[in-house]
Amino acid sequence: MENKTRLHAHLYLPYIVLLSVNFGFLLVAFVIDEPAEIIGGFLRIITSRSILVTDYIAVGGIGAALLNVSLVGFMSVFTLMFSGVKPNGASIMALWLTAGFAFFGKNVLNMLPLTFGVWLFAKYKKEPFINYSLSALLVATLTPVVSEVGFFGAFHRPVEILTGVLLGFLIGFIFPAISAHTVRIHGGYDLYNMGFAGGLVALMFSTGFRSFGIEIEPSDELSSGNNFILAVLLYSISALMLGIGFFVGGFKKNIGGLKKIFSHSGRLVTDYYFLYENSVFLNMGVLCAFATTVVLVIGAQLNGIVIAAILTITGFACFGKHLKNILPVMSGAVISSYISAYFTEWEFISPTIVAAILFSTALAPIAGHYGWIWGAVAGFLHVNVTLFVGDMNSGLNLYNNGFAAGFVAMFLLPLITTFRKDKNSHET
Amino acid sequence: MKLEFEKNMKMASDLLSYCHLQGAAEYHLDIKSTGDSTVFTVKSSPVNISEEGMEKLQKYLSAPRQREMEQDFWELMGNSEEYCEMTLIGMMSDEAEAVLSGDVLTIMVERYD
Repeated sequence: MENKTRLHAHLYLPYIVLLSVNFGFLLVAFVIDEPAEIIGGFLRIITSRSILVTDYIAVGGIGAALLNVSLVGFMSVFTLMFSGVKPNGASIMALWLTAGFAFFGKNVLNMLPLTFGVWLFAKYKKEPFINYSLSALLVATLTPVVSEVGFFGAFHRPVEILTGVLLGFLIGFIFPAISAHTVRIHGGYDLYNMGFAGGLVALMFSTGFRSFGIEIEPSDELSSGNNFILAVLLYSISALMLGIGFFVGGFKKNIGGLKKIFSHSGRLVTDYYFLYENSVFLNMGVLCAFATTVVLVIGAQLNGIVIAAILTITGFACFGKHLKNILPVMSGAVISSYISAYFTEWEFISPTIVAAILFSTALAPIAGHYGWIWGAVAGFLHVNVTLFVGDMNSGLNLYNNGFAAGFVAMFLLPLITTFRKDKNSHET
Repeated sequence: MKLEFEKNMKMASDLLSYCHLQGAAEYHLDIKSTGDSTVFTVKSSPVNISEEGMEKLQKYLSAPRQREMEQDFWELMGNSEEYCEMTLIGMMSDEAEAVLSGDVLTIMVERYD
């Protein structure tokens, strides 16, 4: 029985890769920006409200944002390593997702109270922290609550910070119970389950604040004009993943594994890393390059929120996504975005729309399990819902697309199972 | 959140659903709980599983115990539409074995509390 938290850490390949990428971010930060600029920008980042949408590149500059990403990345990897978590699809996904969201919303300070709250919950339940390690990382979807309250600016700063920290403890303490339950609601067809759980928690806080007469102002701090440097970074990550996939563990074996990955619907829980080992690096490299290219081809900006979406897709290449199940969903999302852009004030290449297209891949399992048409319908609905659901929780939930995707899955699945013709299909 | 009994019931449901999807018409489920472990044995027939299908089943059941996955995803069990659900059973158990003898499939899963 392995029921005790181990205090020794083991360096597995996925952790080495993540640490190397984060070290690369750190190096690049100090190459492209001056240390004084980086430190100043970093201080602005950790004292920002961090509410949707707060692009840390806009707040602190690229160097400071990269410093934050690397520090959050190191902290996350070490948290899993020292908790004794062996890499699996979910843990690798969580690390990449966390790194991505460190470009907008998560920082080394606002994550800590939430993680500590989860640790307290584990103590309360008299269970090892390792049992809750995924929640401990992904609870950071609610970092805006900590920062928004901590840096609200209407009361004494120490009181605000203390209140923000205490709310972080509280959220971390209740989050594992909620996230374990929400997965049942969408049946594993919303890959961003923690975003759905976070949306529910944020909804309670948002409505609570409103009932006290506290209105949360949305943020719209977005960067632009950094496509070259950010594209180089993203394509470098993609090249690294492809390189590992080609050269570590046998080229033929990994290519064979990649082909087999395409045969899965991707519904939770499909752990590609357990099933196909280093083949996942090929899948990660392909999806990272594909998502980056889509953004550049449509002429959109690479900024904090868009990079978060790309790195999230990269992480989920270990845990549910592949080219075959994301394409239908993204196609539907693109059509929906065009329509929204035509009839509303949204621009097709606005960061929110582009992020919604990329994050629509949360519903990839619907395409994987029920086919192209239902996948496209899911993507279509996802963009519609995402554009308006953020107001419900006042931008307090970073994985807002996961919240929206949960509603789409809840709405669509009963219709699909009732009306589709091939009712008995299942993977073999 | 231990909820051991609820988890065990869902595991049993998933094991039976899996056998059903393989065409079984007769099922025998045996659950034995001791102080620190629970053993599930499901015997079902007639099942129609290819050699490749058996290899996949054994691979999925061999997933190492991962308590962090159990915590976050155990509520998904109980509706085995796909083989991949068996990965979750693998992740929630410490020992597992699947044997096909003729058209009789026997799956044994042991889970420490």
